[in-house]
Amino acid sequence: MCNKDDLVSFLYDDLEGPARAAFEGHLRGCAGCRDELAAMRGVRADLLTWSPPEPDFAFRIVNESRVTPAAVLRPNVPSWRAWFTPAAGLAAAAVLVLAAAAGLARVEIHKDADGFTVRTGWSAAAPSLADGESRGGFGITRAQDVRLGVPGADTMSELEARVAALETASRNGANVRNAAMLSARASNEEVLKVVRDLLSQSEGRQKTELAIRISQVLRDVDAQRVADLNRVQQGMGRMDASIATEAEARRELTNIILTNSKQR
Amino acid sequence: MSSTDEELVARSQGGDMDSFNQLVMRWERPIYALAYRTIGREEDARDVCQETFLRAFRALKGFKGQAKFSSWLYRIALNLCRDWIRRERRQPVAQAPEGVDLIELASEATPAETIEDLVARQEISQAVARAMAGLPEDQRTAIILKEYHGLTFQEIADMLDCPLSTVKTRLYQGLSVLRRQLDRNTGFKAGYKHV
Repeated sequence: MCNKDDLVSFLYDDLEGPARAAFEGHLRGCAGCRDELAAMRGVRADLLTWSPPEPDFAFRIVNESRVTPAAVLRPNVPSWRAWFTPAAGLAAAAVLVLAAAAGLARVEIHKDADGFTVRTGWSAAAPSLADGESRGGFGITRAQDVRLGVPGADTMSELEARVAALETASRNGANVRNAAMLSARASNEEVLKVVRDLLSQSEGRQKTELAIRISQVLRDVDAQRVADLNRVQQGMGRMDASIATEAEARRELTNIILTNSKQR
Repeated sequence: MSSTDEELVARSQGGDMDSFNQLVMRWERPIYALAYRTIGREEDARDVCQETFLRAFRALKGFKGQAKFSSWLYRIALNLCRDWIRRERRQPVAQAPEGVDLIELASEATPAETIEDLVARQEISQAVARAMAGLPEDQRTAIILKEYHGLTFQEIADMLDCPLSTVKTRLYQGLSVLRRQLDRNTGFKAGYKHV
């Protein structure tokens, strides 16, 4: 009769004396219990592979009279989840959108003897091209330049015209940015989701790659160690051979000396 | 020489907070591991762990030492886990990927171990987490206490307020279910043979 309690006790090495001997006797005659025991040992081996993640807490009990109640239990290491709030995600997305808008608008600021130059839009590297002029089959749209000269060097009317031009450029830029922001807001969730997915995929790939490299390094180190050991062994062999040769030569020399001394 | 749990408990009961914090440092990882394996969520396991020590601290005056301090802590933690499961009204989730770090595994690997071995080990670990999450609570608890915390059958029986034979039955049933579940994952275990 198969006793499962005994099987469990035997599995955990908790069966002693006559009970153990009796169960061992049963095992010899019961293939079913032997198989079950072997399978459960395998399950136990599998269970050992499951370990919890390393906790990142280090809380301690402290005296309430010395601290605020909120700090009675205090985690020393804040979780990344604590700062990765939806607001932070939205802020990150907003920064991305603004950066993209700035990139599209291609804002450039230069300083020279005449003052600051603020330039927006796409322009050719060569400044001599006229409006609508093309080169190599590509149309080049001249950038909007607004030069902020030193006051007093220009007339007031020129200055007003430039301020008006700057305002126009600013309004146009704002319209573009507003449109971009509205569009971005509508698809914020999708963008966040995509960004998170990409980050997650990238992190996974990097981890796998790093694991592979670490594994390769370990294998390389091991191979190098084996090669070094072989070299050391070869060196030892050569030294042995050299010592043996030297000993042989000395023995021959000693024999010659002995023979000569006997002859004399 | 470090003090025993009993000495630290006695000093804590006398108002020595540092002694209690030594107990916290000594037992926070086992309690966290117990909570994590029972409820399967890292953040919640950490909360359960903190709450366990907070409750233990508040109830320390009433601890008479009938059981070991660690058994008392385990019992508090298990009650909190049970509350969590009932409150959330759901089965524990399998969160093995968080617990298995390929890089960590790679650094622990012996030179003879290939990346394929590491990946296989990670997959087994994930399968174990899933299978454990699917077990009935009483079987899962018995296996966790026996396998990962090395408690005796009698200690488990005392902790769970059940007869010794019930503990063995739960272990047998739980291991049998795990065996069937893990055998279904033979796809990833090609070449892996139980010893």
